[in-house]
Amino acid sequence: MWSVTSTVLTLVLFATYLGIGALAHDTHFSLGWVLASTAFVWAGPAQIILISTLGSGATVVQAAIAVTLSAIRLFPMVVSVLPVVRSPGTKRRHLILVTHFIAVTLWVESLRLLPRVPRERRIAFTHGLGCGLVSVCLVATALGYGLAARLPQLFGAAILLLTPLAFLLSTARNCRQLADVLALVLGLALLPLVSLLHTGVDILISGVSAGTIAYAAHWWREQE
Amino acid sequence: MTEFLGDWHSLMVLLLAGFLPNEAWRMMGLWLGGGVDEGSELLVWVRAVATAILAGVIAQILLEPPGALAGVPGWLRYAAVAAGFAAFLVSRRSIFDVTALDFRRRGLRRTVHGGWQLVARLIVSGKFNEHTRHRP
Repeated sequence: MWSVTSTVLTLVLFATYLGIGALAHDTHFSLGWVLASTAFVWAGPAQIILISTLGSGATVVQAAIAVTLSAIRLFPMVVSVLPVVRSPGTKRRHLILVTHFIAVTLWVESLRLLPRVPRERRIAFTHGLGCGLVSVCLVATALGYGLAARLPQLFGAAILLLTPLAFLLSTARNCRQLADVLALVLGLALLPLVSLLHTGVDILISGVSAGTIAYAAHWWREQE
Repeated sequence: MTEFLGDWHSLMVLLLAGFLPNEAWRMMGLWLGGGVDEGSELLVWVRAVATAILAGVIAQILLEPPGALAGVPGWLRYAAVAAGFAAFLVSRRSIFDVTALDFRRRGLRRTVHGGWQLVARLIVSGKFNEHTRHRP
């Protein structure tokens, strides 16, 4: 649990959730609603997309589609974290809470920290890390909500901009192979191009194609 | 209590449009990813797609910004993120070092630029101030 304090991402997360709390206040959601969304949704980009699409008057179905698409990224994260967490005797139900906690920060931090934790203690470690991060973010959400009325516009904007930058830096730090670096660069570059097509599933198209191109480059280099 | 939580309608919206879409993908990872080996080639691809989708979310927040961020001009959003990322690359991939570099750059800028640069500086530095108090 103390690992929560060992990572700069906790502070970044804190600021991100200050922003989410503030955004929820500005779009007239209740405090309980946004706290529940932090605890149960537990994915910064999804919450920002949910609050901002609903706040801008989109229908529930449109918001659900946008959130579903942004959440696809959780699937490969879960697939890549779980083999590191589990040991041969682990039952699937023991991993349900671990799975719920997996989001960008926990993905990055568990891939960084878990190799140093003995395998039989990794589930407990991840539970502690997850609970710690969720608690910090609940406090930040409530604070951001309460401060919203007094936050200057510019500070609010700066906090919201922290979200993409934090995600960018933490992903960049976690790039281990050529495929990861290429995927990050191509993913950033392809989205503006794909969004010109106005397909409604822009993130999915650009993400899957950029990821596949990156993997193809990685595979091609391995063959040489 | 109703005041605190809001009405049932908005809670249903949270459940249907917020909780379920995220949890469904997570649980699918739990069910389908169970047998995948740590070092497998499939995981390299899956991680590349995850990274690229996240990059897409980043690009979309910058392209179509939410809330107060929409009031900041586009070039300034890109410049602020690019500056932060450049500082990160220069500084041995450590987020702590970005703080130090940011302060050096901030000192320089203050002497040279005004106007919009002041706004850019506030945006770039505002978020790093969070770290400085906790630097070792």
